[in-house]
Amino acid sequence: MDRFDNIEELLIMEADKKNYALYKATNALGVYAQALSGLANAGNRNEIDLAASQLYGSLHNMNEQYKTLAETEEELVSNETSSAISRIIAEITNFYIEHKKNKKLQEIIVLADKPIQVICDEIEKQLLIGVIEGQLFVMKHTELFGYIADYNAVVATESFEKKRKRLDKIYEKYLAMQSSSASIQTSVKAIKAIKKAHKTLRTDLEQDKFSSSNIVKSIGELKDIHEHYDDLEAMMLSCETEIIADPQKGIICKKK
Amino acid sequence: MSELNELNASIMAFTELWEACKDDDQKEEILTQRDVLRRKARKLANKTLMDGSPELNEAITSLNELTEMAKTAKNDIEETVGKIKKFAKFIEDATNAITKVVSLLP
Repeated sequence: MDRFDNIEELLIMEADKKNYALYKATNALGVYAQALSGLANAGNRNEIDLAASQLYGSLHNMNEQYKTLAETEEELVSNETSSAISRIIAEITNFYIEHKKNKKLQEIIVLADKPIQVICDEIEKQLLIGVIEGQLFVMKHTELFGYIADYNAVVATESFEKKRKRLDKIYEKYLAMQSSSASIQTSVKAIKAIKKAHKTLRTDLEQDKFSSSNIVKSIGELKDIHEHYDDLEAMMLSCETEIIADPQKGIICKKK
Repeated sequence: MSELNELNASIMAFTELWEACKDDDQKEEILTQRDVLRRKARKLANKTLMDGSPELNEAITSLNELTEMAKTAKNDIEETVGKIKKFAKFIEDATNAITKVVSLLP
């Protein structure tokens, strides 16, 4: 039994978790999604309209002050002119910002697609499936053969009923081994979704299929997908003991 | 097949061999050899998780640079909106200042 217990040793040692490639990779995806979302929402129409109305208020105020000081009813800048100036500035600013923003978003998203695809592939194939799930599979395989050894040791002496129960248990362990950890599969699905969503976004942008609001919507979806993929990353940072691979529960934070 | 996959396959083969073996001494020897491989696999797994591949690290660097570009672009845009606000404030402040000075005149 000693040897079996030893299998549940550290998968990720207690260390500076921010140095792990898995953390760096997921964090890079998260920060990118946030920055893209920030850019897509920068200088939104309401903000520009508010600035323009402040400008109108100032011009109107200036005109009123002028009339008081000059003791005249003559307008320096009429309300109509103030309103027109503010509206034109708001329109030009909106147009300029939307154009600048869309151009920049397109440039960044197109350039980012290749690294995103590489990062997602590496996280999925090398780290999640290659390392973590691979380790879990070996652990479950070892556990399964422990049960088989126990079964073989008593096969000649135990009743049929007891043996059947043992066989059921072995089958259950076999299925668990085959299906591996559900938490890993969830992460793999989320990573695949990010990869696909970004590729679609890139393709549509290259074909100029997007209006500004659609870009914002698509980036929002991308950010949402990433936020669903926080579990592993959050656990890596919050775990105060050690992160271990548990044959039953998958990747968990060891209890104190 | 990666080195880690090969190690994992060998560990599982040793486990199956251990189960099939009837001799206690041989069983012990199989477990000892399996443990050596298991330690090696764990070390390699940790190294992969820690270091990542050159392709991954290069992609992370590229993505981080593009993230910085997005942040800079956001700041530029916000600066443009800020300039209109500053212009409005400038007119307001100048108007108020002139009014105050003029009101002091006899």
